[in-house]
Amino acid sequence: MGTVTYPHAQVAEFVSEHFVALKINLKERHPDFKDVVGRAKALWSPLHVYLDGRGNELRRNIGYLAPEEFLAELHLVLGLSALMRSAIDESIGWFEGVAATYPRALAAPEALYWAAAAAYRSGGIPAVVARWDDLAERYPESPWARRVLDVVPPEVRAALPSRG
Amino acid sequence: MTEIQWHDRLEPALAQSRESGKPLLVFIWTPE
Repeated sequence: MGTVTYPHAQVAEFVSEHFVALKINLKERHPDFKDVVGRAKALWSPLHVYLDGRGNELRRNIGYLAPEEFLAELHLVLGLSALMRSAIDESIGWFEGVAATYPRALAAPEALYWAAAAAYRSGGIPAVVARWDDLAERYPESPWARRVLDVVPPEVRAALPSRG
Repeated sequence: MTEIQWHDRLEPALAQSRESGKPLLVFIWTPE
């Protein structure tokens, strides 16, 4: 991450524009390590932990990500951050942006899953089901599609408004 | 060329995060 991904111009710009950044060397006994990682342990690195300004964890992710994968991941985090603030339209914008801009990224199907969760706040079950169907169609092999397949009972689906 | 400004302590980073509304990214790494 430190030699390829972070020096990447687009990554450096995006991180600088949208995040506050803190770096902790796992080999040192950093005084803030426990406050960041909590009761969990860092079994491997690189590890990314994302927090809001109050220190609430938004997400954590283990392992190296190449620049494009990392940019997709950062978009997903911004969507989660907006969702945490109940900024629903903003969060959906970030989530949809992952799949639109980085459709082959690891984060893309997860972003669509979270877009469905965000859409529930404004559109209820019909909005969720529509987005779950879209996720399953676009990424049928994804672990995130497996979370939505066969979740909606047929009688619930039959009662949903027709989407034409 | 933009360079990321890294904090080295949590509290100042959280304070900047609250002030700016930007989430905090914590990169935990080991020297390669």
